[in-house]
Amino acid sequence: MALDRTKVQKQAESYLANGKIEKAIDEFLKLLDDKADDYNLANRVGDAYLQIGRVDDALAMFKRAGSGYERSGFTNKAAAVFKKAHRTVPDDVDVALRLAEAYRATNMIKDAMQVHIAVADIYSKKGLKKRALEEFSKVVELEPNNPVHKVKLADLYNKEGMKDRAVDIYLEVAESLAFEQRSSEASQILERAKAMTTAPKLFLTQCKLRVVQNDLPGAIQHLREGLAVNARSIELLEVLAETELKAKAPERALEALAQIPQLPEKGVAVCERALREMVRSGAVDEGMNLFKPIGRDLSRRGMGEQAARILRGAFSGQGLPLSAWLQMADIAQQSGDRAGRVEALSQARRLAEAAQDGSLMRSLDADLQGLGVQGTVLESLPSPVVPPSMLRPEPAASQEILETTEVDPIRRMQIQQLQREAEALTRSRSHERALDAYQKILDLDPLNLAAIDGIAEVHRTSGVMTRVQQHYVKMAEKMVAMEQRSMAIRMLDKAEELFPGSTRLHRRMLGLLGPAAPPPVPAKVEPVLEPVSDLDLSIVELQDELPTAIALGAGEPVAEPLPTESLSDLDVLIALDQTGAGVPSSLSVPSIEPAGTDTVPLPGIEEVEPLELEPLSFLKGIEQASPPSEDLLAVLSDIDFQLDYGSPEEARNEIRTALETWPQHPDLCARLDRAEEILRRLSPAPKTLGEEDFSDTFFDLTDVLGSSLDEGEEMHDATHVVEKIQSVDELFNAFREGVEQQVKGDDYDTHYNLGIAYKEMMLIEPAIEEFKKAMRDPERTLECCSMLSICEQAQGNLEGAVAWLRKGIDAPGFPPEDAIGLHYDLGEILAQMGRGDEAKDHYRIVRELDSDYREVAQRA
Amino acid sequence: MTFINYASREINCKIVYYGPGLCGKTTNIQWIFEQANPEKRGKLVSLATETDRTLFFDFLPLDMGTVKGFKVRFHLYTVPGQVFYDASRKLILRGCDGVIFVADSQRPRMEANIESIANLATNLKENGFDIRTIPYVLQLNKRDMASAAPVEEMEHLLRFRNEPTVEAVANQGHGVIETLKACARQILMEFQKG
Repeated sequence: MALDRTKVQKQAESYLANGKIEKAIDEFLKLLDDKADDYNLANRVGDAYLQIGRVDDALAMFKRAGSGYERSGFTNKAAAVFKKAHRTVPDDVDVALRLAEAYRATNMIKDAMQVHIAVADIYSKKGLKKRALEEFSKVVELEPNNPVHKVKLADLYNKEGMKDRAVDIYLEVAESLAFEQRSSEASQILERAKAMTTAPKLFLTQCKLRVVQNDLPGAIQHLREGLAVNARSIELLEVLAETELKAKAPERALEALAQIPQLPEKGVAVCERALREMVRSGAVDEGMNLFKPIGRDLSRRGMGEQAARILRGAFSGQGLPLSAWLQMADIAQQSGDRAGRVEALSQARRLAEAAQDGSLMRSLDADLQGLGVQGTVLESLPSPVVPPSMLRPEPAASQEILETTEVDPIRRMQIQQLQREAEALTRSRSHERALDAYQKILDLDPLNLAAIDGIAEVHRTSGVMTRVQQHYVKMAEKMVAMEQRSMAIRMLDKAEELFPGSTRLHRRMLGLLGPAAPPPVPAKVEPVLEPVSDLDLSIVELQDELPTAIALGAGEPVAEPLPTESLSDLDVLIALDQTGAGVPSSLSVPSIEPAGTDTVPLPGIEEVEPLELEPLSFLKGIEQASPPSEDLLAVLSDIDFQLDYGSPEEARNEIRTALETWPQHPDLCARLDRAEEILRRLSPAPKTLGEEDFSDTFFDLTDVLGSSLDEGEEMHDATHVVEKIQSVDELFNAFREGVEQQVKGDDYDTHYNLGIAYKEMMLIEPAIEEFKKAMRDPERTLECCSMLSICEQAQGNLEGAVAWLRKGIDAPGFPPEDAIGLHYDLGEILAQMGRGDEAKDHYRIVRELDSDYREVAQRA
Repeated sequence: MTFINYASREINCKIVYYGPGLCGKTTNIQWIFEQANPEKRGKLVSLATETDRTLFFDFLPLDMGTVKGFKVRFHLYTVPGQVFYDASRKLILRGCDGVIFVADSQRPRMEANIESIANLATNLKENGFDIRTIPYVLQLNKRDMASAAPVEEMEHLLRFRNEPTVEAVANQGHGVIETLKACARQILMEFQKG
């Protein structure tokens, strides 16, 4: 039956007029039941409840009215109702927050801020500091340009021990003040942050302030200072690269980028710009050297296309030079892009031929053959005539080597025979004899890449990777003596691959850092010979199917990358060759045409000045303090290499020798201490020690440094990637250091998760540290107390476990039911400790809260 | 063993990505991190050595929601693949609930795959687990490589208990989530049994 609203309304008004409030409310509620969206009525009912002192009911009614107004878009009305409710119950956070929201909606910002401050105060009184701070941060949000609020918030964070957040805000304020040209105030705020952190963000802000003042050297200086205390910080290195680029130092930008282990997207763009700048300024070889590790890293991460694009972009508008094609080949190899590699090697081979770099040609041919591309295609290319200025001069000595080794078929057969022998000896693990055989090959042909690699491979099987590295360095030295610069660079590159950074000194000493001879310009190269050999005929037969292969054979060097369709054609050629349908294998070794070199007058050899590597400026200070001589620097660099790559004994010997020349030199003494320390660490434990001596340490070092390993050796796995051996505790320490850099102090979630991770691995002490960090978040108090108690139990410290549980139970601001698990666990531990009565007290509390909780019914 | 904390009402499941060096373990969890809802994932803790290899372990917590009032979290770990970091691997396997073996499909790496499975079996045993019964998934990664061995051949060599096998190209995300799901399914089934 329909409600007669008019009648009920009259009745209610009558009750009200006679002071019968409760009866009036009953009537009003009938009306509300009939029409739930009558928010004016709800408001009136709320008032009525207030009149008779039923505050909770009044509040519920006001909330209903306020929410209804809000939903209906009457924000002013909503604000008025919530204001009334807030005035009635100032401690009701829900009402206060709704009021603040209504104020925001009506653009009453100052009022909203006051309410947020009031809520922050409520939380603060309840001990919920984090929530209080969050509330205060809303005040800051409402007036984001007010630095006073921000600094106050930061001060509050600082006071609560949340230093990271405080620092973030100080830095933000400093930055915004700097942009407003309020430099002195910015500096003052920055000082507060400086006193609290040495994290990268501090130096980044300092850098920004300098950039705002247009002081790029100052900005760079700050970044380098930052790197001195935050080695390999990606953020710092990225910004450093950008700033160096802005400061017109693209080579330093690339140096910085090369130090980033996994170059992010943003860095890729900087890299491209830096490389382009270097190419424009003519520093092509240096640019290539600096880009090499970056390109390789990108390729390994499946971003080979991006690496290739950087290279192409750097040389846009001109053809890629030889060194770029070699890098393209490397990138393609790292990316697993066979077709790309064949293309790049072919292009490099063509340019090497144009430059008449015989050794490089042979090496490239070998690479191509390794990919199944027979030499005939390339061999058939007519020797191009290159303008004299573009040719790299080869001395008479190397010409002689080429002529004697390449032309003499008997010698070639001897080499082939020795090669087979060496390979067989390697397979049968007769390493010494294999080395002899390879050495004989090198006696016949000092530039034989297969033999050089063969020796390296033999050394590699011994597991001593420094030998492999030293072998390549020695070969580089020989190549330089024979004026084979590009081969020497390749050797050093191989050494560098094994130990990044290890060849810097050698490159400097061998003069391989300076710009190489200018690369040939393919566009000017013209063929002098027609393709007339038998080899060409075999290709001509495939002409219809393989137009690109023929185009390649026509001797017109292609500066730009081959079009895609030509790649597929080349693949067809390779496939045919592999199945034997192409060129006979006996013709696979390409020969150098001496005539080509005879017809071209050679220019004089230009002396290339070795380029001194600019030390990083943050190291400059150290060097200036006691400037060592050039010789000493070289020795120190050698020693550092040995120390870094696991040859401490050799390092110690070298230091002792050097100390005879530079007695008591502090740098040498410091390194001697380091070497001794490493050797001590690597020494096997004295036999007198028993197992009990290690009972306190969790890590079993013998697990890591197995008895089968020689001291100081590097190990390599099947992937030939070299790592220094580190014990678990060394690794773990390095890991934790890294984590500290990666994870902010107030990233409580991650600290909590790490705590669990460590606890799962039974790394209890570190787990405890992480949980303590996570506990700075007041809302995690209970979980953290529980986990800390578990950790203490794992260590057998039951008293400690009890203490943590009690701390959790007593924590303010949590409803009693939240601590039910803590009470139960506490009961369990107390029972375990024989304190049955105390245990029962806690079980009883649990039962009162939830009688079905776990097995409390039995325990209590 | 799944770690259940009644006091904090949490269930933490530990999944370990195992496999030879450079097989793509870190790539797997990096992909998961990138795909996961930012609100449901924790921070990816992943540190690399100078040679870009995993330092000690990678770690990614994933929030799987609430079951009967318990917060369920999956913690994903990788181990360092290099043969000589065996002690680290052993340590990381402690308390694991499931293992995902990431095999490198490249033919030259087959021996390394086999060695790594043998090593996994040993290390699990030393931690009180049995490789034949623990939740386990075999992922055949790098299927896009030219030198990838056929699936049948890999299964013949590496599969030993009718475990779920997933083909993957982790750097493109193919098969990554499927692998994780296959492992999670087994863990939850074990959990229900328990």
